[in-house]
Amino acid sequence: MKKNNLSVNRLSENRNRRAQIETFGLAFIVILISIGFFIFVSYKSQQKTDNPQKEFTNDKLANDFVLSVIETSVEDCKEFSVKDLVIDCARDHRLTCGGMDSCAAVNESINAMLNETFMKRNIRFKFTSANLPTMDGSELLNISYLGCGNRSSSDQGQSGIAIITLYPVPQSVFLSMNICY
Amino acid sequence: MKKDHKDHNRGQIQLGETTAVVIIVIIILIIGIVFWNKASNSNVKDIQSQAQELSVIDIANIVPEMPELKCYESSVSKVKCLDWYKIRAMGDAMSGSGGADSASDDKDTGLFQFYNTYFKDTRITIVPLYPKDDIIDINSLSLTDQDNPEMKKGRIWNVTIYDAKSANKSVTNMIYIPVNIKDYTTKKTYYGLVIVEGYYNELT
Repeated sequence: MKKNNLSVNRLSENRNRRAQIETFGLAFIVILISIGFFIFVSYKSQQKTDNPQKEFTNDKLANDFVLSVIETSVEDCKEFSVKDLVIDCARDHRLTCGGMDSCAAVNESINAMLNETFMKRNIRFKFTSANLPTMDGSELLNISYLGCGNRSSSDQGQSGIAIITLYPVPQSVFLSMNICY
Repeated sequence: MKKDHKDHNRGQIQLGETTAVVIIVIIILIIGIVFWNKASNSNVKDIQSQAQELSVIDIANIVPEMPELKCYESSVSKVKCLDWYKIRAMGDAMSGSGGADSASDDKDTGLFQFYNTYFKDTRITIVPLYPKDDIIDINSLSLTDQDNPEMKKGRIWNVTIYDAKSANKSVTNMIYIPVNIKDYTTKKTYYGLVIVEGYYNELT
């Protein structure tokens, strides 16, 4: 009888220790989950939400830039705008500006404006033309700054495009500006 | 008697467990409250800075569309084009109207107050950038040259058309918009930027 009582006591002591271990295990898991949650919350709160200034710059700056550039008078021949020289470069090759042909003048003037607006502020961009070939058949304008527009990068914002018609020739020149995030 | 003593011991152990769990839960709750407080504080700052940025963007969108500054040809307005003489006129008028800090002097602040409803706490500057050979630094000229119209003929320079500078605020946001600046006397079209800078109290 006494022996029986002793074994019952030992069994209950064992059960009690096991219950204690289970409780602390549970508490340990709860602590781990809580720490994980706090780390997640702090990581999330550090992440910047929307940046309206950046979005505005990427979406509007590109479009405004190409629209303004084509109307600007060119240095050394201020009676012509960039648009006039682009049309001449794509169609006639008659105009000259300060000893340069129209294509070289377009290239120089657009590069100067890109430099003043984007390069000085370290803004990544890609400026390209379409249907504006040089003598060797390549496109006149294909300017990429700080690696913007590489095939691998998916960080491009909205494009700004200016369409210049070459009437009466049934063709158009496209000037495209893309700002990268 | 012995059994009673053991039961009492077991009860004590269980009470210790419960206390430990309660203490842990309280610690977790306190850490949670501290975290929540920090997170919500940074959220408020984000919202505040976003609102400031949006207000500067709104103003930057207004400026190139104002009839006081826009180019008109045959009564039709041109897109993204500012008239150089309108810019100069507005710059001259606003520089004579004081600013946010000059309410007490005897200058006419009516004009400033009128535009303050649109432009709020900002500084708006028109900066010509290309072609470079006609652009001058007006501040580098002597005062007599600055007043001499011949020196300025066919030239273009930076003009601040509005400035609500006040001592207790600093510039926190800047937006710029590419525009054309047309000089109708020389028929030249310049490329430039409208730069809008927001004056705000530093976020703490």
